[in-house]
Amino acid sequence: MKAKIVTSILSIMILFSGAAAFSGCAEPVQPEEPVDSTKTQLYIGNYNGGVGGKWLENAADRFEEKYKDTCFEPGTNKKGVQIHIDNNKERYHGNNLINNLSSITEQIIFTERAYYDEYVTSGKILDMTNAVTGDLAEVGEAGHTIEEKIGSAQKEYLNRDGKYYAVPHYRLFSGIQYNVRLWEDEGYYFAEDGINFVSPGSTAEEEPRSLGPDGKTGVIDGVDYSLDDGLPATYEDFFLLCDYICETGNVPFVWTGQYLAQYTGYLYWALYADFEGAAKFMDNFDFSGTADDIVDGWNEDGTPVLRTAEITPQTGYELRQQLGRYYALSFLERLVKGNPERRFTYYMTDSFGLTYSNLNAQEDFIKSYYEGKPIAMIAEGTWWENEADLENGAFETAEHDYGASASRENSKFGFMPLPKATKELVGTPFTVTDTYDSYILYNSNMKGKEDILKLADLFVQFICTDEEMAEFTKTTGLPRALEYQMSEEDISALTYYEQQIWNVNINGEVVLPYSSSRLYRNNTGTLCYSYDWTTTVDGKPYSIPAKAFKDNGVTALQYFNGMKMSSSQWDTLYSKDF
Amino acid sequence: MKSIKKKNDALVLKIVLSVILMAYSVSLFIPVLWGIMTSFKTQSDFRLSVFGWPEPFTFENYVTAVQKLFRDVQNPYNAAQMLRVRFPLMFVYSFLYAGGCAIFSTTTACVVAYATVKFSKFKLSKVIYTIVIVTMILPVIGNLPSEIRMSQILGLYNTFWGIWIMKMTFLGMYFLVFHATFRGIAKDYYEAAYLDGASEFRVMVQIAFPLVKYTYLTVLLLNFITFWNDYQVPLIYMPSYPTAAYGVYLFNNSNDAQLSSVPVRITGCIFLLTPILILFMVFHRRLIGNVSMGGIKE
Amino acid sequence: MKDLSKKKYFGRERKEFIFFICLIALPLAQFCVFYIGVNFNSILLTFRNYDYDTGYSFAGIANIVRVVKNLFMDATLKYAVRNSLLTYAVTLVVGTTLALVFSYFIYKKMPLADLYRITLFLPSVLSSIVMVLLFKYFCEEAIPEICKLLTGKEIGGLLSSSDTALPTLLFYLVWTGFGTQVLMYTGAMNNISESVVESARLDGATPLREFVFITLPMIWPTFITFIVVGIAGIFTNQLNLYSFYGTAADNSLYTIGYYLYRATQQGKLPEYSYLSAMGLIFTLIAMPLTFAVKHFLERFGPKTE
Repeated sequence: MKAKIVTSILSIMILFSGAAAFSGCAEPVQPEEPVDSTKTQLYIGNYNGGVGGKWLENAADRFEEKYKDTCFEPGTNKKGVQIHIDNNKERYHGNNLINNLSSITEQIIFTERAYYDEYVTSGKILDMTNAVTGDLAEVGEAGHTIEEKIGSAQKEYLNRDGKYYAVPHYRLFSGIQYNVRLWEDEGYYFAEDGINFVSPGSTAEEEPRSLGPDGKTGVIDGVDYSLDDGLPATYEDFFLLCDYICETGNVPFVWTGQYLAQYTGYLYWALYADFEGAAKFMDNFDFSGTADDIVDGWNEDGTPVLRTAEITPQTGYELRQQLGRYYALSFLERLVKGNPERRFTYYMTDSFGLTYSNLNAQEDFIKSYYEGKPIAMIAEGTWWENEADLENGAFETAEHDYGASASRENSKFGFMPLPKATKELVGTPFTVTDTYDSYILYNSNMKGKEDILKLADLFVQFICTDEEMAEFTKTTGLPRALEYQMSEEDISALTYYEQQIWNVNINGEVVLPYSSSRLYRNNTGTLCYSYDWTTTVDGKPYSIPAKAFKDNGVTALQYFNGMKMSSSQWDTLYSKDF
Repeated sequence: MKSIKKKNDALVLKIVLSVILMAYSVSLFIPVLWGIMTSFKTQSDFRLSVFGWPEPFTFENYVTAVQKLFRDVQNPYNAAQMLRVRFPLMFVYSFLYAGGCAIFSTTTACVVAYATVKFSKFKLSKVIYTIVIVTMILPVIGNLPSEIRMSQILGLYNTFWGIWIMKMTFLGMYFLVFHATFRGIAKDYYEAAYLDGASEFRVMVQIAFPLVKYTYLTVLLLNFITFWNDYQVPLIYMPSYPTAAYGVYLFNNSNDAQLSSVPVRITGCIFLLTPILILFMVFHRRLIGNVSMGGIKE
Repeated sequence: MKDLSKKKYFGRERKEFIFFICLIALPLAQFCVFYIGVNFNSILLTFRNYDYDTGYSFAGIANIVRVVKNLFMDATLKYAVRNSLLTYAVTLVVGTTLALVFSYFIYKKMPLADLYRITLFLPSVLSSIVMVLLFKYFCEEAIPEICKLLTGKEIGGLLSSSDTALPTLLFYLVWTGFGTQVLMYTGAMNNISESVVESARLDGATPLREFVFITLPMIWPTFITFIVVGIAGIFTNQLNLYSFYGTAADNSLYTIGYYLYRATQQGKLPEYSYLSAMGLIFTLIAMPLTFAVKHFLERFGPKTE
């Protein structure tokens, strides 16, 4: 009996192997370009998530063309370079990448969510100092280096004893995206008085709009302040607008229920950062500075009692009572609880459903415009348009279902500068955070191959020239994580949405939460997002504010008060890294 | 009178249990049937009506699954070459992975359990038993990188025999199952054989193992199913040999919106499920049904 | 004469020992390499700290002290302990009881027993990817719709509403957890000698009496095995939270197993010392418990005689 079954299993196994042998095993994939042995070969791995891989293919073509007559391997008669790109979503991301890096043949890796310290100490990547500090003369920008394009805080973070092991790649921001066509059709812009709304279908020329959260309009010193005109300037305005959207029969907001914690989480961080401004918000990462808005209690009229605290690694817990957190929570509370008096719900019902993915939310956001009950805003990151535009994505099916006007090119979306918590804050710069740890890395398989390393250096320098970075932005609509300018012509080639992102990147304050603080570097798992929003209300722990507000009737104030952490608990958790 | 009451009690019990079990079966079949139905739906149909009858009824998902379920991997013998592994080959890899691992791990657990029960007088036997319990309780934190490094150092990475060796472990609950089974065997069975002059090896192979063969087969089947459905280990340790479960897992992570739609994902799941269901249907009578006739009777 | 037998005895013992070593040498070597070798550093992390700049340093029991202190301060951890115990209690009381009763039902070849044997085992055959996907859609889409149809009341998905999430997860655990147990119990029950059962029947035993006084004692070793496995898993059981919610489950749902797994996924090497220490503490709690329960059940359980 036993023998019988074991034989059966074995014979099935053999049968299958035989079938496989018969069918020719795994067929070799014909590379798009066969290896040209007269050229030097360079292998590149690219994480093609929301940002995709087209930009890299284009850049590689230009590089191959530019250096087609250069010999990279002296002593051989090879001339020029052939670049092979492997686009892959799992292989070049997160834990998969660092675990398998030493068995990957790719030499230069473009990745996201790579924790720098972990890579540096793993010994699996190579020093890129030559590329970073070398003069860009060979790629046509004599007198400049990549190093000078890296922001100062980030430079300090990346520099380890004079060596660089990575080059920053791209920046992603999260926040509120809105459907501009709906704003125009329905007149969702605030009129000049900042109280009423403009007439449906009116243009800015016909009916001037309010100044928006930046408090300015027109072009001043080359900066266009009119992009946010008519948008809600304060939280109060924002919810007035939500009521108005409900009145007109539409749905104000949507977000993914499957990734509820993450996507609503990005929104609170965006609100929190925007309230505090870059300098104060950075205290959360570098643990040095003065916080002048620590909540110590509440006056009878509901205003906070504030005090100033010196922030050091020992007093980091104070930041859990920073005023910006309260305001971010209160914004979310109102968003979730809606307007009970008028029975308005501000979000689409699926937004709390576990099966409602980010792609579903994007699809509804795009298609609802044509389906009778448009959704006005979505909580997303700046990559969303790219993501919805991938093969068989929401834009493609929308175009299929609703005609050419639904295509990405013909749609018009905007990246909304966040409204300010109070009137007094109107006019302060829009602050955004990039927390995606996107880098260019060298795989240690290039070790000792001096010729290839030189070629890799040249390639990295090439794609970090201002010209190539502008090309990157034109293809993906996203900024690279280095400092560079784009010509007016280049900017005008971007879509409306991309122009707004670029505008924020240049004119807003961008927080790059890279800190050399020992406390932060050794505790990113708990100090970054997730843990930071845990609270205890009446002995019960919560970690997702949106859910606590909706299901448990918790208020923003209760949530905020519960976040307070005692210094002894802080010591218990972190004193080893003070 | 009393006996009638007894009979009634038994009947009531039988009915109550039947109802519970029937409800259970229904609760299980409904989602499965729903899944099968969904696999014949288009994405737009599914988006608008999650529970309605497929309208239109389509085989497109199956076509998509067959076409798109492939994976380009590095040729393990020639790193520069990429190989395309399609779904049938993924099944072969699944059989090799699940079959090999099941045989190695079940046999190891069985042999070690026998050794520790038969020779319980040696201290080491107790030590092994304790090791099994302790390793079941102790969560080990962050050992994946060192596990990968070890398999790479020993040359086991990205090979079938490598993963089989790594699964040649006695740790886990099935050791305890074998341990309990062997303990249930009376010593008399062995003693008779010793009197006949049988060697230890013969006693083990000819007397002990036949007595537990049904337990062995049951555990083998359970292990096989577990390995069949496992996508994480092949993903990490055998990147060049994607199994079917790994292929289906990729549906969930694909960049291609067409593959990440729920009907297609469910279709992929049905692909994965069908062979194992057939295997179970074919063997379940022999395995479980026959345990009653085999086993150790006193 | 006496000496001779002693010699003979030792000769046999030595042979036995050699045979014993032959059997376990390879598995033990495998264990040394792939468990001890691989995990040594991880387990040692409890007593060491890691810093990206300075590397490892000896920490003594500092990490253990940190965990113990925090256990009294952190509401999430308190809930995680509570949920872990609750999960075990439910699987023991509901899951194991039902599994035993179902097995008896099948063993007694009651109506449709064959069908139930297959359905009870079906969740183990379906991969967890499939089960989770099907169940998720059912709880999130079907049940609210059905509820609306029947009562006219709108409710949220069972897994996404805070009130229903924990009961639903516990239900799922029990609902899909019968397979292995039923398979093993029916196997063990079928091994019971016909003559014992027959004599009991002649004595006029009811099915209940037969179950308690004959069946249960006969399958006692199998029963103990499952109880021991369950207790050993109290603090590693994840309640399928990762399958349903990824790393973003509400922290009032955490179990210790999920807490550790999630923190490991999100954290980096310097944070592992704390987690390792937590793992060790719960091991130290669960280990004596496991052995005590095993000992107790073996000692005071029903005897087959």
